Amino acid sequence: MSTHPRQLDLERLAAGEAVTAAAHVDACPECQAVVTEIRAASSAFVARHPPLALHEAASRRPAWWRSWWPVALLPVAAAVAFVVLAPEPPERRLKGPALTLFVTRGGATVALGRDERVSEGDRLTFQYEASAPGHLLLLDVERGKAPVVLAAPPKLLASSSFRAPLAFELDASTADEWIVAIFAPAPVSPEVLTLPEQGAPLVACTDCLVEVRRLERAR
Amino acid sequence: MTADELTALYERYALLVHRRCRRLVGSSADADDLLHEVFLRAQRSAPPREGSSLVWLYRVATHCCFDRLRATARGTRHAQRLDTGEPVVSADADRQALVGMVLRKLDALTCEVGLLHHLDGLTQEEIAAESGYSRKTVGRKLALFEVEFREHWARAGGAS
Repeated sequence: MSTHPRQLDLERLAAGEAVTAAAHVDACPECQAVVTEIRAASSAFVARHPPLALHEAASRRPAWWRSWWPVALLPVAAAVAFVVLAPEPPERRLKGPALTLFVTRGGATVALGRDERVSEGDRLTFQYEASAPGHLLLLDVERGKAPVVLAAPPKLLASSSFRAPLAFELDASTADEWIVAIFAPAPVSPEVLTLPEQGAPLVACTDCLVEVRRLERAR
Repeated sequence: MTADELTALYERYALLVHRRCRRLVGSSADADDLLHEVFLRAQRSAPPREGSSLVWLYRVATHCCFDRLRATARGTRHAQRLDTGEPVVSADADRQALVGMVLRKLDALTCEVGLLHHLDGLTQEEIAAESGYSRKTVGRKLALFEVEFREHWARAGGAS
C-alpha cells in the first residue's frame, strides 16, 4: 500500500470533496476507517448542533463584531443629496454591532434600528468601534452604480471608537442600497466587494470583519 | 450565500470546523461559539470558485480563532492545551502546542499560512492556489512563521 494521504485529504473526502487520494482510500481499509469515522461523527455532531442554532446566531450579532468607528464622508453617492455636520449621537454603545447608523429627522438623532426604514430627507451618520487595531473601509453600495467610498480613515487603534464628523441626507432614490463596513488588519480596496444580481453585497476577504446594513426605504 | 446554501455548508463541514477551532482555542465551549462565527463570516464572504471549501473554511476559522485569542489574551493558556485535540488529527502534540503559542504572536496572514503548512501539510504551491496569495508571499510568510516557531520552541525549552 502506498503512503497514506494527508489527514486533510481524508477530511475533504469525508465531506464529499473530490480528492486525488480517493483511489488510495478505496483500496485502504485503514484510511476508509478514518473517513467512515469522520462521516459518522459529522452526522452525530450536526444532530446535536442543528443548523437551526446557526440561523438563530445569524439573527443575533456575531461576537467578533464589537467595535465601531466613525468616519469621514465623501458626498458623491447618487443617493446622497448633500453633506451636513453630523449631530452628536445620543448614546455611546459599549457592546453590539461594529457599525451603528444614526438617523436625524425632525431635529432628533437616534440609532437606526435594524428593521427601521429610512426616507428622503433623513440624515445619516456612522459610528464604528474597533476592538483590535485595523483599517476601516466604509462603502455605500447602490444597485446599478459603482460602490462609493464613504470613509477610509488611517489605521484605527484597539478599543477605540470614532464617529463620522459628517452626515449625508438621503435623496429620493428607490434603488437597493447598503452601507458596508469592512474592517481588516491591512488596508483593503473596494475591489473586494461584489454585488450579485440578487441579494446583498459580498466581500471576498477572509480576514475582514464585514458588516452590511441595508437601507430600507419607507413606502 | 443563501440560507439554504449556508445550511448545506454547515451540515457538511460543521464537525471539522469545530474540531479545528477546538484545537486552536483549546476549549469546546469557545469552539461552540466560534463555530457559528466561522459560518457567519463565511456567509459574508464569497465562497471559492475553485479549490477546497474545507481549506477555505479552515482559513476563515484560523482568522476567527486568531481574533478570539488576541481579543481575550488567553492565547498562551489555550496554546498549552492544544495537545488535547482530537486523536483523528496529527499526533505531533508538541508541534501543535508550539504552533498555537505563536498564533497570537504573529499577524493573521502569517498564522494562516503557517497553519496550512504545518497543521494541514499543504505545500507552498497548494497554499498559494487555495488562498490566492502569491507564491512569493506564501514563502515569505512561511519563513517568518518558521523563524518565530524556532524562537518560541527555544523559549519553551524544546529540543532543537
